[in-house]
Amino acid sequence: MCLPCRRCWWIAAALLGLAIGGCSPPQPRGGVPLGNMVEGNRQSILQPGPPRPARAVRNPLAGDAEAIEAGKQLFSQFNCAGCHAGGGGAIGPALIDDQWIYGSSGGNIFWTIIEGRPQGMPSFGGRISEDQTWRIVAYVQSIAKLTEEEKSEKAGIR
Amino acid sequence: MTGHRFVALAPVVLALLAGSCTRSGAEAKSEKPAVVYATSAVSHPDDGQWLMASKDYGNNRFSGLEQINAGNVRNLKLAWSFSTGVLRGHEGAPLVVGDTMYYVTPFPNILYALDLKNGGAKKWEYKPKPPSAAQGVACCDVVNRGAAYWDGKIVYNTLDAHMVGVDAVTGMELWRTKLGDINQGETMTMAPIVVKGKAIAGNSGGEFGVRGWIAAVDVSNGKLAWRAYNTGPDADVLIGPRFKPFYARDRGKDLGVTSWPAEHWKIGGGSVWGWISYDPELNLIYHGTGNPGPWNPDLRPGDNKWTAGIFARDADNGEAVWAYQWSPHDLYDYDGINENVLLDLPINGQTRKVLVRPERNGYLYVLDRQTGEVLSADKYVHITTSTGFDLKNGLVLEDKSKTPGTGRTMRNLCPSAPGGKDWQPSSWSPRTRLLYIPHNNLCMDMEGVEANYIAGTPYVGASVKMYAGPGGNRGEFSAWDPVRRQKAWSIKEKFPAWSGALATAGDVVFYGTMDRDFKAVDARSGELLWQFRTGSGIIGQPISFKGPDGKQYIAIADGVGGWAGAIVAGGLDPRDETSALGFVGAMKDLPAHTNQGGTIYVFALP
Repeated sequence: MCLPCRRCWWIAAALLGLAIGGCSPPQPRGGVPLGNMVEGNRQSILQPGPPRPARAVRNPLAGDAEAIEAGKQLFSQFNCAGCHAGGGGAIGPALIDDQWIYGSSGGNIFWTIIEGRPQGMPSFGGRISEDQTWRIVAYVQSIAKLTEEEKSEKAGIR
Repeated sequence: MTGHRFVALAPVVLALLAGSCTRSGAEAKSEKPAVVYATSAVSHPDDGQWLMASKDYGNNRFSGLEQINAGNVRNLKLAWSFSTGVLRGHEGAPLVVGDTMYYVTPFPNILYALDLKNGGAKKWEYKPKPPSAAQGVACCDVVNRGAAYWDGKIVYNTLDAHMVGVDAVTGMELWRTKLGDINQGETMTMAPIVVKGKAIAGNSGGEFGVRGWIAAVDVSNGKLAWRAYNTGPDADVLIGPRFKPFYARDRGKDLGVTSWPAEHWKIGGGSVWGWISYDPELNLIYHGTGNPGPWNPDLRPGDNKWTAGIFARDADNGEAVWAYQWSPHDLYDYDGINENVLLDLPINGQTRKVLVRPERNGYLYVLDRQTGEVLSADKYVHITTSTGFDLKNGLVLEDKSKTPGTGRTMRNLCPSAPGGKDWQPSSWSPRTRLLYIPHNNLCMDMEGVEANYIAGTPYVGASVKMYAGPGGNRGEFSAWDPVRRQKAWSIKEKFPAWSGALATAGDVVFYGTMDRDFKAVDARSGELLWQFRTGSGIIGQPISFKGPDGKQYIAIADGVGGWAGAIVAGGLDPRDETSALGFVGAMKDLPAHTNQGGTIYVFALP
């Protein structure tokens, strides 16, 4: 979940796209060993080539009651509630429904907070600690009432 | 043509001017449509165009066209329609200049030019491409309320707080001026007005701790001419020797600083996102100011000047001439940005130059627009937040026992945060002498919570739940007589009447509903004469124009959304009643009545 790894993933995806575009079997060109690339949090369930097991990053604090309570406070202090209300949404989308534009795994939500998203989600990276972010993620996961299984499945569903 | 102001000229001159130029506008660059601006104080022929969102400088929205009348409107048929390709709340008014209709969509603020000689065929489109991130600082859907035409240019604001000037013939961008910063929570959603070559508009962002301002931009080159802030030191507010507020409490030095806790005026709101009117004889513009921030009143003791009020400013340089606060130290998000309808009315036997304002706090004000004196203020909706009006001091008598604050929940607050009436503009008919007002019937519970200012994020500090007022209808469309100071008739609506109103010389009044009906009613009785079922709910501004074929047309855009329709436009979850600043609580059933949409409909008699 470190930033350089994510960048690598996109490079890999781009290279893979080139390979497919050329109607060749899905193998890398230029000698880049694709298999060595580290996967990030997927935002799509669509995978080119044979399916690979999901390797989504899980929230280390998921389900932790203390973290959830702290996350609730942080959700308010960082003004998340100003856009997502009590989870029903306002300026930003609802968090208690079953639609996850940018993925519902712990890692998805973590990176959504850190990176921001193009339709108006601000990037909080550099303004919030990793620990605070995971606590907010724990709170969001708690109000979304998703099971661990659902959290993975719903990744990428719009 | 540099002098676009013929208000004081004789009607015969107007007719000549209109006849010589009107219908040739978009055809040749050298010929421009005659611009006949007027307040209602001066009768004038209607040239059949619609050159600014509110039709005229007096914010009357009255069409002088009379082919469509109370006797034949039942035959009204769809002439053509046009999909804007955008699915957010369509609050905008189309413009009609010569043979062309112009329409600005919600974000991404596409400007379309449609050919009225060819069933609305697309002539061109202009895409300003504001950054998507701007959507994240728009409090109440990503709306745009319209454009203005001036001297061959279409001028409007984009959500990312820029103003653009576009060649009305070619669709080429002529200039683009950054006026605000989305990273400070600033957006722009209002329709500008153009006075003597300067386009005037202000910022939105009262829920983001912005510092409210109004600015004038030279339409010829996009350069900033002046900017006036609505909070802070007099020098910034453009308060100088000419400033003569009517009430003593508004006199003094730097009240925009001293009526706040230390430094709070810098993030105190007072934005300008509603309507501006202009009196050419007094050379004054009138604009409201939005709510103070945050909503939680405990966090900002003082009168919070000059929020939730109104300014009269010199149209040439922005200098303040008078100011008045509808709601000093606002408690309930009663923004003061509604339309200022300029009329000359007989008051106590004298004709007075007045400004009529159906205000968010539930009172319909009549002000002397030369001095800012309140001549009358009457309840036009159900009110529990105040007990009456003190005319001597020009003050609402607030019920102080209903003050929400940190940890204090107040219930049954009426009107609710969007007020007796929000942005949705009313229309005046000089024939019936009635003001037609689309409005709300909503109450709320409100609790103050702590608010943490982080630039570019919401700064509200309140938890709100809204619900229907007495009677259960959440909206109403009323005809109001400002001289007799009473309602002439009214129509109850299921949902808030969130569209604009249009009165016509055919004594027909048009408005739309959030549950998809575009209605024509009798201007004198309110009797329903005709309705048309649209694809999505209506929150737009109806207009009327004369087509190239000489026929009268009526136009309206559908596309539900705005604050009231955020549950549909934003796909919000009805299980959280505090969603959309509490509006979702009152609108849980809206998704059962309408989907998103975005279509312009144009109607005519067969």
